[in-house]
Amino acid sequence: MGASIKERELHELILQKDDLAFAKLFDLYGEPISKYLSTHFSRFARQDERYVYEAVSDAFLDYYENPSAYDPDKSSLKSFLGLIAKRDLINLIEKEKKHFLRIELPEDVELQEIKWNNLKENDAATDSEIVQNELVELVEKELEKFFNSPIDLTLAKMVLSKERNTEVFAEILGIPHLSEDEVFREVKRHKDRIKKVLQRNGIEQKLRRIVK
Amino acid sequence: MRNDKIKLLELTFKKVSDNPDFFAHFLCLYMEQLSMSQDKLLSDLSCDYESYLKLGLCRAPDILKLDYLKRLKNISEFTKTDVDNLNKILKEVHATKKLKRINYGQEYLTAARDSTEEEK
Repeated sequence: MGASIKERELHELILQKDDLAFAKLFDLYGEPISKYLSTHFSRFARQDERYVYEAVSDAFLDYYENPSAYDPDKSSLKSFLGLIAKRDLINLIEKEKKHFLRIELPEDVELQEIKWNNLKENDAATDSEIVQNELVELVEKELEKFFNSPIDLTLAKMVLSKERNTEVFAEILGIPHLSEDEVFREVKRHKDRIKKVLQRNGIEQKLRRIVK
Repeated sequence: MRNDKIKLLELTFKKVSDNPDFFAHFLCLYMEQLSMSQDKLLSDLSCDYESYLKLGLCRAPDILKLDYLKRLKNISEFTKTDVDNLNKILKEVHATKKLKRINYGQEYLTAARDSTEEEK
């Protein structure tokens, strides 16, 4: 069964990057699809409902960023979104299973930074520098997806490298002339902002996969 | 207790807040710039929390485009928020961004000038 007239209109608005389309899409299908997943994956949803929200949110964003992947003649928009969300949730569950089967890896950015440090420190010791360089390049490419400015990119690498020297951050931010308190506050604000981006977009997990 | 819809909206709002295409980005920067609390912003916008989250998922119109005000009015009607305040938020954040770009430009010029002088 294809899309309804209402869904076709909404899909058209999404394609046109209409100002309200994404919010309308959420209004219409966000809750029903979450409920559907929570029911079908009740055991998992009971453990941590955030996975369901994560999967639904990602599904909507995937569709919004690439709406041409949806064909209104083939299925309803609701089914399509439900299917992507279900796939994302299954992937999340699989990842979690693997995660618990392996050695407990650090979840927070601070600990993940050690991983980045090891990558750099071991650089000279690896048999193949090419492989290592490719790895670093992959990680950098991943970071570039989320940090547009060179300053932010550098800050992200510093955060991941567990850099703790406030003066180094101040130099990068161009604020060494400020008072000690101001520098501390500014550096903290920027570090928190970078950490939020890293966490919100699951960059730690992505980098962990690349490093593995 | 917050329902599914609010939790989902909250998560997605956070995800798009780094994307300057979305209103969420401007709302977050505006609060940051003015050290303003979310409650104060909600009160200024005269809207409830759900409308605020939905607003974040709307695309922010380009302030330089001719249809800017018309588009802003549509968003204001959909999210039941105050259009004048939406206008103020977008323009203030744009102005601050522009100012920062100018400052950075000056820093780069200074750095370039310094390095040229060192070469001499």
